[in-house]
Formats: sequence, structure tokens, C-alpha cells
Amino acid sequence: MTNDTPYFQRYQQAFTAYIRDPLQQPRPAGVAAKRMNVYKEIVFNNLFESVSACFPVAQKVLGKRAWLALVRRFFRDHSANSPIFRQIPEEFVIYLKKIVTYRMKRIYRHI
Amino acid sequence: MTTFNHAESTINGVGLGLKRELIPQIQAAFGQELISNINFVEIAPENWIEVGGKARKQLDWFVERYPIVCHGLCLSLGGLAPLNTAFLQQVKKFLTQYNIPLYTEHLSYSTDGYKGQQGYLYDLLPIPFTEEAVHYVAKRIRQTQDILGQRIAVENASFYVQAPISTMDELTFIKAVLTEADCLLHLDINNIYVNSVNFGFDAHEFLRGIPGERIVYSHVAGHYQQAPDLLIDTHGEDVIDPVWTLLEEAYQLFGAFPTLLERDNNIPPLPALIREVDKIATLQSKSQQHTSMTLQVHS
Repeated sequence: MTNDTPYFQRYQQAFTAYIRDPLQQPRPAGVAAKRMNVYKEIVFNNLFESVSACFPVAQKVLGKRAWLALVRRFFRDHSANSPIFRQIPEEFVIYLKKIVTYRMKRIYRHI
Repeated sequence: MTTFNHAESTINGVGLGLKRELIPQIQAAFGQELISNINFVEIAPENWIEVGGKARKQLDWFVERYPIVCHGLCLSLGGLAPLNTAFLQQVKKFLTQYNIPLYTEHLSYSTDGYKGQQGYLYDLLPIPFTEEAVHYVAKRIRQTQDILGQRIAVENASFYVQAPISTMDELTFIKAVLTEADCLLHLDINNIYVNSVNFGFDAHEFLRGIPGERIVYSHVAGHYQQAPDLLIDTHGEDVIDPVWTLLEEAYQLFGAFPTLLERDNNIPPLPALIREVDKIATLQSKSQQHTSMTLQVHS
């Protein structure tokens, strides 16, 4: 977002930034917490259900808390490029590959 | 009185949103009295584009037996990322392939252009109601219509947060977008009711302000009451009486336009859903009888 970005889009950007990362990002100014919570919960829960339905084994291996944290990071850090719902799991795999590659590079640097 | 857009309503009567859970039941009941009021079926292209195997066979089965309409979820007309024209080409191909005459979308957004990509959030987020947003959305609707080579209809969305930066009300925004984009209206009766409770306005007054001549068809659905002043548009409950009343009033105002029942969650067995389908059909014929009586009185 630049200074040329229209005002309404800067608001939208603040809106989705908060939904993606409610722990770090501020709630958009002038918006009631109770109402914003609806989006915070609905958007993440829908995505969580879509992803979880496709990876029962990974979920079991990682355990509930780690799985939840991983999907949260996926939503916070990954920019999904496909509008097709059945490709959401593929978006998740793209994200996993990215973080694995990143971690491997860091490990190799220390060898 | 009939003001809704007959010419571009290539569908009639009552429709049902197609959910995978319902498919075997509809197939089993096909040709029977039970489902005789289902006249058309609605699908989300995001669920059906380029499917294969069993899903493809199911889609073919419905295409052969029912008029189909496409109701999209992820075009993101108010989105921050550029309009996804590659996806629109896929939609165009899909509409042609299955001979689907109508494509509708929401007046909302589902992309934020995060990290220079589309950034799909897979949900319907509220566009702030400002002049700039009217022009922006209308331009993207026009662009969509140019790519598809046909007019689309946009649906009034439900929402839970009123943007403090909005400079106009929802009805003014919808009307301005429809005029500037010269597109059609997919009127969601439940969404009018949900928003009227969430933001404290008169649903009937809102309905009377709708440009009826742009309506191609409508939706009814149930919702979840989270608090007395907060309704969540879950499509997971039965349609409530105030929404039926609004639908009845809409038929009186604009004529008995085609209407589709949406049920996406907590789906009951088919016979229970059909009771609501039949109720729509009853209201439509009641309104048509009323209309013909009025015409007789005036002729």
C-alpha cells in the first residue's frame, strides 16, 4: 500500500491485516471489537476446517495445539492465489514447502 | 405489477442451491411429486470448475435435467488485488461448456492483494460505502461483463461491521453501483433482513427502494441469532417468518421473480428442505393470482 492508495482501500487493508494477524495488528479504527471478532473467527475457522479436513494424519502427528498454530501461521503468512476451493490444501502445501526450504537453508548455513 | 427483469431471467419458479450432501437424495427423488417444485439449481463455480471423476458425473447429471445458474463466491469485485482475469476466463469456459446463462457475484471482497499476490481469504468481506468504492467496483463489474460478453448480477451481501469511513448507506451504494455498471441485481432477501437487524434500519423501507427492474432472481435463507442485535448469515437454519414476509412484500412490489433457497450448513433431509421450496412456490402463485385479480379489476 502506498500513499496513492485510495482511502477506502487503506481501510480494507487494515481490515484484512487484522483478520490475518489479530495478535500483532491493531483493530481498524472506529470498529467495535464485538463485531470485528465475528470476522476474525469466521474467516479463520472456515479456512481451518478446509485445511484440517484434508490432512488428518498431519493433524494427528502434530497434535491439536501445534496444528492450530501451524494453520494460524499459514493464514498469517501465506498469500493464496487460487479462488478454487479444492485448491486450498495445495496452497497449504505450497506454504509448507516454503517454510521447510527456509529452515533447511538456515540449517545448512551452520553446517 | 411485474417489474423484475423477465428478459434476462432465463430461469423460473423456485431453485435450490446444490450441495453435495443433497445430490444422492435429489437423484433418488427425481421425477417424483416431492421435488416437482424445484425448477432450477444453483452452483458455485469455485466448487465445480474443472472437477473430474464422480463430481463431474454428478454435474453432468444435473446439467441434463435442470437449468443451472452460477453464483460465485471469490471473484472479489471489491478486492484489493487486480481482478483475476485468468479465473474469469475459466468461468467463461465453464458457462459455455455447460450452457449456463447466468453468472452472479457478491458486492463484497475476498482478496487483499497480500504480498503482491491475490491473497484469497475465502470469505465475503464488507466494502466501505464511499464514492471512490462505487467507481472502483462498477469498473470491475464492467470489466467482468466485457470479458464474459454478458451482463452479470450482483448480490447485496450480509455483513457485521459498518465501515466508519462510509459516506453513504447500503441502498445508495447498491443503486449507484448498479447504475454505473449497468448490471443486474441478485436480490438476497435474507441479507436485507440480517443487515437491518445488525445495523438497525427498516428492512421494508430498504426493499421499497430497490430498483425492481434489475432483479433477475432472489435468495432466501436462514441465519443464526448470536445476539438480539447480531445475526450471522450461516444458511444453516430454517427461513424465519420476517424473511418470508419480506419475500411476500417483494413479490407484491416487483412481481413473483424466481427465488432460490440457500442451505449450506446443518442440512436437513430433503423432505424437510422441500417444505421451504414449496412455501416459495405457494407465495409465488399467491402473488400471481393477486396480480391477475388486480389486472382484471383495472381492465
